[in-house]
Amino acid sequence: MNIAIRDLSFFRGERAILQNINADFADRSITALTGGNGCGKSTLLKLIAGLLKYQQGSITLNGRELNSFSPRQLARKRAILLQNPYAPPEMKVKELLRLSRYAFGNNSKYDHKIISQALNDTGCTKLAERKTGTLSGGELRKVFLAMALAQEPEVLLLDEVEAGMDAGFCCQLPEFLRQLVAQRNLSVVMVMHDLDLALHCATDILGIADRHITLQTANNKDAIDQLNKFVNGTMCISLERDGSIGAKLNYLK
Amino acid sequence: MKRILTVTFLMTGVMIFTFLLSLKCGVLTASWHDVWLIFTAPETFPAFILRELRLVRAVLALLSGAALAVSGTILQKVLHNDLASPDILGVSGGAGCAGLTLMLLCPQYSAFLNTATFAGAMFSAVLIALAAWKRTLSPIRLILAGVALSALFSTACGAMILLNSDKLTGVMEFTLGGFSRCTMDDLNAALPFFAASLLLAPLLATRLDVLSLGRDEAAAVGMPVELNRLAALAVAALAASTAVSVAGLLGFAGLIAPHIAGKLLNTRRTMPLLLLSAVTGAEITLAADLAGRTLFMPREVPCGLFLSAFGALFFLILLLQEKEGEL
Repeated sequence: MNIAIRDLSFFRGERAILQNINADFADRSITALTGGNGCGKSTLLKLIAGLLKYQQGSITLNGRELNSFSPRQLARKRAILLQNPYAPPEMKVKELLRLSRYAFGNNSKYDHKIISQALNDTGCTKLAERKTGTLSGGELRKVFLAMALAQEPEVLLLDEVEAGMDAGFCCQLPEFLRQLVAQRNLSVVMVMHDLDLALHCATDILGIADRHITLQTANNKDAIDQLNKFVNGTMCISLERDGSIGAKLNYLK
Repeated sequence: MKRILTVTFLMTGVMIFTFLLSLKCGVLTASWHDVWLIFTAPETFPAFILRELRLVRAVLALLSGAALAVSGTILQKVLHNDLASPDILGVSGGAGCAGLTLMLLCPQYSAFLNTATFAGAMFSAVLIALAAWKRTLSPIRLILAGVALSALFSTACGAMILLNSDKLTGVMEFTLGGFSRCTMDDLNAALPFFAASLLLAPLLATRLDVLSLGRDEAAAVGMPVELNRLAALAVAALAASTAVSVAGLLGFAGLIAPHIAGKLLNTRRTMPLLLLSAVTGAEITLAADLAGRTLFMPREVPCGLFLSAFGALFFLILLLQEKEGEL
């Protein structure tokens, strides 16, 4: 599913958080959103998810205006892994996962299959009977990732999917996302601070600074130079090619 | 699942036994045969009196307890707060103000006590929801508005009691909560409201589970959050208002019953919790009313007093028994 953002602005009270955002997310693309803390990445992600209402501009999913979707219709199109998702500590993982099927009506046999599949894909099968309050932070985020997958989304929005995850998960993430896109035919937009991981995962890279998109590139061999220019200006660091497609970080003197 | 069924079944059994016992015991002790006759031959001599005096009262205690418990369960889920009870909607405060105004300032209209308390409770719930509304309905704003308005109401109640200390007959019973003044007419008037709120509550169960994830996560899985929060609050307010209109200020049942049920079930899934906390609320209210009527015969102690005392003690015991690491 492709997403098109045109002249989008978002305000909290008088304060502009995002201004004149224009971006396209192609079908089956994996886009990494990057930028300094508080630059509006998560806000943009929530706007695409329909969790925040925009005042100016437009967001369309396959040409249809986002505001015209009902919450239920939207939940059948997109899923989001929030930065700090909450689950009541007494709730079991499998009970939590069941709630991800809220928008789909009742078909418990199919729901069960989808939920098992999502738990399996994220390596959470053995957590199914545990209460969420007994999970570690990383385990809980994996469970919420499973919850997002169980919505069978065409657009998957991930807010810092790598945060709190173990090294094994991060290493497998690029392959995991590519398989997901290939098998389920979806597009991924993810907020990511780990630029090296972003270069390994993404097909496209967007950078936000000072309320605007200032970096927009496909992840090709020039990407690292553009990304370097972007982080130089915004975060006073520089990137260095590490020989493969990855990068090393240096502080600027 | 097995535990849920066993516990619910046992508690329902205890509740039915308490219900029958409330029909049997009192100043005039009836035989089980007389209790049987209440249902099979209601026109015969002792059955007729038992029906008018005890059956009405027991049914009202059962329904009020269940309604308060359901209201408390809903509110604890919607507001993400274990301390939430019908009182947080100002239900007791509003009902208390309206009831006292009527009893103390215009006693000639005291026949309309139930109507007035119901209106007062609903009015204060609406007032609190309006005060809390700011673009969205945030649980914490609702709790704060509820605490503030409840304080205001209870000050007003205190002032009225202070200024009218010569006409306090019946007022204590009302503020502590009890069923001694209940009649068949009260039951008939309250029944549709009880039925509506108790039947609507199960329809909210899955929605409440989703709402308990918080605003963003609930919206992410496709729920119109504000609409469902309002619907849940409306059902909770209706249930609690109906209960206080017949029973006086018994709000404590709504705080404690969901917790007792939650501890017994060892789950917080809404559907079984709603069911068991309704049964638990009914049971503790019936038991408190029975104790109030029989323990100090011929004197009668208002149900609310025993409810708070026993409810709190029983709850403390459950709390202390909790095993370490159990959530």
